[in-house]
Amino acid sequence: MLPPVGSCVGSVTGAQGAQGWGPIEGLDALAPVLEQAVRAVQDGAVAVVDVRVLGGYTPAMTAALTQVGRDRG
Amino acid sequence: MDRTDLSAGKQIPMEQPAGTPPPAPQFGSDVVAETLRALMLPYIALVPGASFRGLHDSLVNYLGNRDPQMLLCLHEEHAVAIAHGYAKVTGQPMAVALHSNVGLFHATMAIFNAWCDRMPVLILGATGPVDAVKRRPWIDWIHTARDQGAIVRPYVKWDDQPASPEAAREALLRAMWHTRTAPQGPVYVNLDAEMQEAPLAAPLPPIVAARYTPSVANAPPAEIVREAAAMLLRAERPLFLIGRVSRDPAAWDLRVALAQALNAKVLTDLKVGAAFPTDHPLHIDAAGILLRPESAKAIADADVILSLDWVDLAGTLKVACGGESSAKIIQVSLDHLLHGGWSMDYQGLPPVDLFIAALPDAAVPLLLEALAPSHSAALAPSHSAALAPSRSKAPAPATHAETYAVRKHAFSATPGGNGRISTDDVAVALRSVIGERPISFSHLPLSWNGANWPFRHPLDFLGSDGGGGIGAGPGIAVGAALALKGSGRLPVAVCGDGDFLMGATAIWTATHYRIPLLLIVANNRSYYNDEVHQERVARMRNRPVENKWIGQRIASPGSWSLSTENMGTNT
Repeated sequence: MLPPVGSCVGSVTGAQGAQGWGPIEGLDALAPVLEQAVRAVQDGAVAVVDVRVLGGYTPAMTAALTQVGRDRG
Repeated sequence: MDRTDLSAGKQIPMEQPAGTPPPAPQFGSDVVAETLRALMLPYIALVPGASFRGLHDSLVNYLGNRDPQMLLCLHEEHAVAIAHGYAKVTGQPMAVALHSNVGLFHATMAIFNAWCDRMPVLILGATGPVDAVKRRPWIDWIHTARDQGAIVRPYVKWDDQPASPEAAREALLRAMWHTRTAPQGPVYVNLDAEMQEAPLAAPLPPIVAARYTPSVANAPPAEIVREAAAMLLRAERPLFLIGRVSRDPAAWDLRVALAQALNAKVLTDLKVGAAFPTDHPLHIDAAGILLRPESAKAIADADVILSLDWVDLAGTLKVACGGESSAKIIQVSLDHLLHGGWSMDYQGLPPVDLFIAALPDAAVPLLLEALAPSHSAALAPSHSAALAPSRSKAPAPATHAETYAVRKHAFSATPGGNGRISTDDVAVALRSVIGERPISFSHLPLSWNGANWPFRHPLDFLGSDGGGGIGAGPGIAVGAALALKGSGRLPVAVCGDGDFLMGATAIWTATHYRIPLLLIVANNRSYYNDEVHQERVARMRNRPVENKWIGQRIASPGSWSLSTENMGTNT
C-alpha cells in the first residue's frame, strides 16, 4: 500500500497549498509515488515528496572531501 | 483550484486592483513604477513594508499590478532567490523590493548567492525619510540607515540612493544596464521614503529606456583568437573545462562543434548549469561539484586546456596536477571585471598562458571560425563532421550507454520489503518515471551523482545556488518554475532537508500563483556535509568518530515531515 497522499505537506508546508507525499521510507514505494507527484505537477500542482534517504555521498565526492591534501593547509 | 497544464501558457493569476489608474504620474514613486514598466520587467517579488508603501501604491494603483506584476513572498530571502531562479532560466533580471534595513538584512544571503552565481537581479530598497524632520517617531528612525547600501555593496555590481524622481529614473536605467551587462550580477537602488511619497512637482520629460540600456558587445581581438586556435590545433591532448555559459541552445551546439573539431575532451561542473551533453563521447566523466578522480586524471594529462569561464580554475588545476599544471592554459572569461577586495569568491589566481577577455558564447564561434581554414587539413578524418549541426538531441552514444543507463535493478526490492533509499535510488526512480519527457533540474543536493542523469540541453540543469547559502533551493526552484511555465518542461528540484526547511515558505508563492513544480526532499535527517567534516576532524585529532552526528542530526522530533498529521486544506 502506498503512503498516504495528502493535499498538503505537514507542519511546514501544510498551510501552503502544495500536495505532499511521504515520508517515503521504502524503495518499493518510491517510483509509484513519484509517478503520482509528476502527474500532479503536469496537472498544475506544486508537489512535494519527502523521501527518507540514507546519508552518504558518491565515492568520488567522499574521496574529494576526505583525501589528504584536499583539506585546509 | 483550477489546474494548469504545463504547456498551457505563461500566465499566472493576478490580484486585480479596483478603480482606474491615473493617466500620468503624480508622485515620485509613480515615476519609479513607470520606469520599471519601461524597462519591461515582468515581475517584482516582494515582502511588503512601510518604507516602500509609496512604491507599493504606485505598483497597484498607478500600474494596475501588471508589467511588473507583484509576486508576494513570505520572506525576503525567498523574494531574491525567486528572482535568482528566474534569471537562471531566462538570463534576465526580475525586480525585487525589500523593506528598509530589516528586509535587506533578511535578503543578504540570497543576494550573495546571486552574486556568486553571476545572475542579474534588480533590487529596490527603501529607507528614511532621509530628512529627519519628516520621520514618524520610533519606527522610521529604526528603519533608517545612513548608508543602507553598505549592507550589500561588496556583493552587488552597483548601488545608488537617488534623491529625486528624475535621479531615481536614471538610477533604475543604470541599474538595469549594469545588472544585464556581462558579467552579470545583482544591483541595488535604495529609495528614500520621502522621495517616493512627495507629489511630483512637474512632469518629467519622456525618455526611451532602450537608449540608456544599450547592449554591450565584448569581442576579443582577432589575433588573440587566432593564437588560441593555433594552440588548440597544435595540441595533442586538448581539454575543455566548460563553466559559466548561457542557456542558449545555439551556443551549446557551437561548443559541441568546437570540441568535435578538435577532438577535445570535455568536463563540466555541477556548480553551474549544463554546458555540454554529458553523455557525449568527448564528455569523459560525469559532472561533479568537486573534482572527480577521472576528471583530475584527464586534466593532469592534457597539454592544452581551454577554460570557458570555469568557476575555480586555479583550485581545479592545483588539485588535479598536485601543483602547477604543465599544460598551456587558455582562459575565456570576463569575470575579472567583477573582482573586488571584500569577497574571495573570485577563487585562486590561475596560471594562464593566453587570456581571452570575452564571454564564452562570444569567443566560441570566433574560435570555430579561426579553425575553419585549416581544420579540414589539420584534423583527422574522424573530425570531418566537426562543424555539423547540433547533436544535442542525439541519443546517448554507445560509449556512455552503460554509465547513464537506467538501472532497473534498483527496484528489486519486494513490496513491503526493507529496501532503504539512497539519493541514487531517487535519481533512478525519477528517471524511470520521467522517461524522455523534458525536465529542468533547478537544484540538486551535494549527494547527487552526475552519472545518474545525462544532461542534453542547456535547460536540463540550471546549476547550484552559487554562494553555498543553504535555504536557497526552494526559492530558486520557484523562480525557475515560473520562468519555465508554459515551456512544456517539468520543473524539478531535489533539495536536502536542511535546504528545504530553511527555504520552505517559498513554496507558498508557487501555490499562490499556481506555478507547477516538483520538489523532492532528499531527507537524510542531517546536516550531512558537516557530519563528514566532523568525521574528518575526529580522525585528524584521533577522537571518537561515532560522535560525528551530535549537533548535526535533524530528528526527534521529525514532525516537520510530510506526514498526514497537520494536513491542511485541500487544493
